[in-house]
Amino acid sequence: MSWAAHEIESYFLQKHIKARVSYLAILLGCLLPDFFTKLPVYGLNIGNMTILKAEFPAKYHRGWPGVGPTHSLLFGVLFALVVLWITKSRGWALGLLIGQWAHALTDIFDSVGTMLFFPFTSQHYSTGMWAYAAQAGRYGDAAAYYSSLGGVWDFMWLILALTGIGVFSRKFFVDTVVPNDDVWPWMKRKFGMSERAMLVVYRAYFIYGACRIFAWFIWARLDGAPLDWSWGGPYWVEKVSFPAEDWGNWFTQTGRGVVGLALALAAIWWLVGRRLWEQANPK
Amino acid sequence: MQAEQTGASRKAEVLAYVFAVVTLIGFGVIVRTPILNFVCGPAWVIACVTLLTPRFEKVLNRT
Repeated sequence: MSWAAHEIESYFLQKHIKARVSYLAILLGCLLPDFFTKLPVYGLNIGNMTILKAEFPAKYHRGWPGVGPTHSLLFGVLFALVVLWITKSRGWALGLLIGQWAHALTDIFDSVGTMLFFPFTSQHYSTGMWAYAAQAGRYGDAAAYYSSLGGVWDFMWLILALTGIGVFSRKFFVDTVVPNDDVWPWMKRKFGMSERAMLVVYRAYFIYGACRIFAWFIWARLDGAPLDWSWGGPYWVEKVSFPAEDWGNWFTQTGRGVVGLALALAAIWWLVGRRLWEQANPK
Repeated sequence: MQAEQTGASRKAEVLAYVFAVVTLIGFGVIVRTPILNFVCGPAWVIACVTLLTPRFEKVLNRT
């Protein structure tokens, strides 16, 4: 799984999307797939008691049966559709969709990957760039992630976000972020927030994401975790993966998934999506 | 909405951001999950900047 990339990618995406879209929705979409699913993956412990813990974290987190469908492309579409129906806001629906898809696609880089085309196929899509190690617990996973190409991946997202440093400016916030989302004026009215406070709320997830990369990376070095920047590393952690039986099976499953998703998207658009979109507010 | 910032105000805000970054990394290495989670981490940044900027501003104006 990606540790800090999900917090940072929202800023990068926002910079490159030309449509009117809510930044807060992109951020929420980026966090959505792991929002209610992470706790049982690492386990909830009170004292010596484990209250909540998935028996097989990788299967629970990314597979089926489990909550793996939260990392599928169709889940993002359905969630965005519900939000479009409730809020009548195109900017929020689109933002959530973009954020959730970004999360699902970013997570294909670890060894477990995601079931992008669920429910049409439960095939996992993975490049195997670094080892999925959530079964080692939160700290074991952090040590493995920040000793592998996973950590490099986070640094890459940090650099990508910094290449568009203008998105963090007061001017960008006032001229682009606020006019695209009615939530900001609402927050100002409701909580009496100053411009400085709203600006730091906007920047907070980037700063948190960046600090998280450095803090966990330094901690992993102090903990003595050996660095291994080979593909699929680190070598010292048990790597979980769900590969296809063979390439023939992979292509069959992928074909079924792509056709199924395309037909489902067309049906959703013609049956409800188009009507909801036309009735919605452009913001 | 956009308010002009004075030199001292801008410096104070930058100082507050730097403080938030340094302390978040420092505490993060030591206490890890209790601060490096998606609620406390951003809340720490927001609290540092909103609470410390006016204080730093006062000190800078005095000096």
